[in-house]
Amino acid sequence: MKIKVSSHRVINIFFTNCIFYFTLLLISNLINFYSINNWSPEITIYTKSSDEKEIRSVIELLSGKNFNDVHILDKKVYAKGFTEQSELEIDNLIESLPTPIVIKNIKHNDITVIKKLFLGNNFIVAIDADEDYLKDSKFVSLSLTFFYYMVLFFSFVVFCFNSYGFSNEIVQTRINEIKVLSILGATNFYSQKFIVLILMLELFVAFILSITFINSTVLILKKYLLNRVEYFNLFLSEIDIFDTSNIYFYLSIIIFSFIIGSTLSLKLNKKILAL
Amino acid sequence: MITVKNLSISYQQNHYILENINLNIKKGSFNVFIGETGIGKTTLLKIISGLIKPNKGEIMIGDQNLSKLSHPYLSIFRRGIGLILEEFPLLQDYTIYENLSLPLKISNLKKKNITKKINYFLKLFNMTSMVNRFPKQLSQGENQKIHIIRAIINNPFLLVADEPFSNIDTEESIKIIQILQSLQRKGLTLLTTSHEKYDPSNKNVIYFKIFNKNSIKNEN
Repeated sequence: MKIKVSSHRVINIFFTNCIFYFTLLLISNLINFYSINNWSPEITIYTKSSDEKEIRSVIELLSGKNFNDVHILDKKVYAKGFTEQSELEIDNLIESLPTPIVIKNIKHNDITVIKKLFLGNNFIVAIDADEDYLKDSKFVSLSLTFFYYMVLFFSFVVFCFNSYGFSNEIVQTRINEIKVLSILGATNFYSQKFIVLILMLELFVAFILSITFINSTVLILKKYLLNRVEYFNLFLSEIDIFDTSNIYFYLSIIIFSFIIGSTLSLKLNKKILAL
Repeated sequence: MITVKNLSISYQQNHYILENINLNIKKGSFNVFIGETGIGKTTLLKIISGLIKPNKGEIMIGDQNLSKLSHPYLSIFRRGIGLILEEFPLLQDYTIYENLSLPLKISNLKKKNITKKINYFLKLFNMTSMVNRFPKQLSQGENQKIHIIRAIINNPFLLVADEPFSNIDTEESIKIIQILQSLQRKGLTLLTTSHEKYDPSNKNVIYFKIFNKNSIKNEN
């Protein structure tokens, strides 16, 4: 007896996952967005220096590949964008530094920076500033960063639990199907291996659809709605479904659906045997 | 003819729900088991339909000894029994059409005949418009009627129904009883349960009252 593979169960998982995951992703985005607007741009270089040459050299360096939208306001240099620590090319701009942090650039030159702070995926470099500001911004940045990653982590946990919950529902539906069909007098079912395969396929398709949906929505948001979600691109590049070179993403999805699929199939087997 | 001989069943040791029950049910009769809640009416129906195996005793349906039938013969035998039980729900992910087509598919009917039969019964129960709906879109009473259709759609020789009219109003129940009695005249045997008698003046219905675990009496 055939067991129906219904697409609306996959769509159920897909939509619920998307709603949960995307809502939490949006909350974390808003937290970051709010914090940036209220506390600092994504990359801010503060300098007491009024030497125009010095400032220009900073702009030239920062307006390269890794940064865009660099401007000066009240003798401060603002640059938005994101980068990695090693890509930052800043020469020894400040001679006296209260708490110098030495980092290496790609050319292996020593770069001395007064402070480096992380806000989400944003790297804030303070070359020179007064101590109070640094204390405040560091505290706020670190708290928000912590909260931001907590929300991201929580959203992923919800995503996993939600998938598991829905998969359980699929298992329950399968059990009901088998139960009803056997009461009706069906004698031949698809083999259990085949049912498990269908179950895993359903999960896999649902995950792929969810991730694709989230990814494409964030890309659209980035383009049309929010100007400042570049850092999500960084986050999503890790799970970019359109990036065929990202084998880890595919592997993790396969392993994830395999773990859930096999856990549930064991449950399914037990319940079928108990019928 | 259904014969129940010395039937006993217990779920816990030495705690019998039914003990040494003997019954004779005529072919083509309409039988109702009445009695208090928890007295064993549903259990008796489940045993007669082969869903539960008794601890002791025999159930003969025609010349088949149900206790001696093993899988898959029991499954094949059950195709001839229409069931309305709480543990046998409509599948929520299937439309009414798909739910009703299941027993017919199992009997290897062709798609054309399946559709024909479903349309006939839905029309008979005045539910044609519900064909593409899902069970959760129907009321309890409508769901109950679909249960009844699913049980009788495959021309069973025996209909086993646990309180089939519990969610249906009296007027509708009378109509359904008339449909079932028309099937009864064609040879269908009916075994149902109820808290009270449907219509005491209807002498075609045989009432068996279960008094306790080992006492069933024909009320007629």
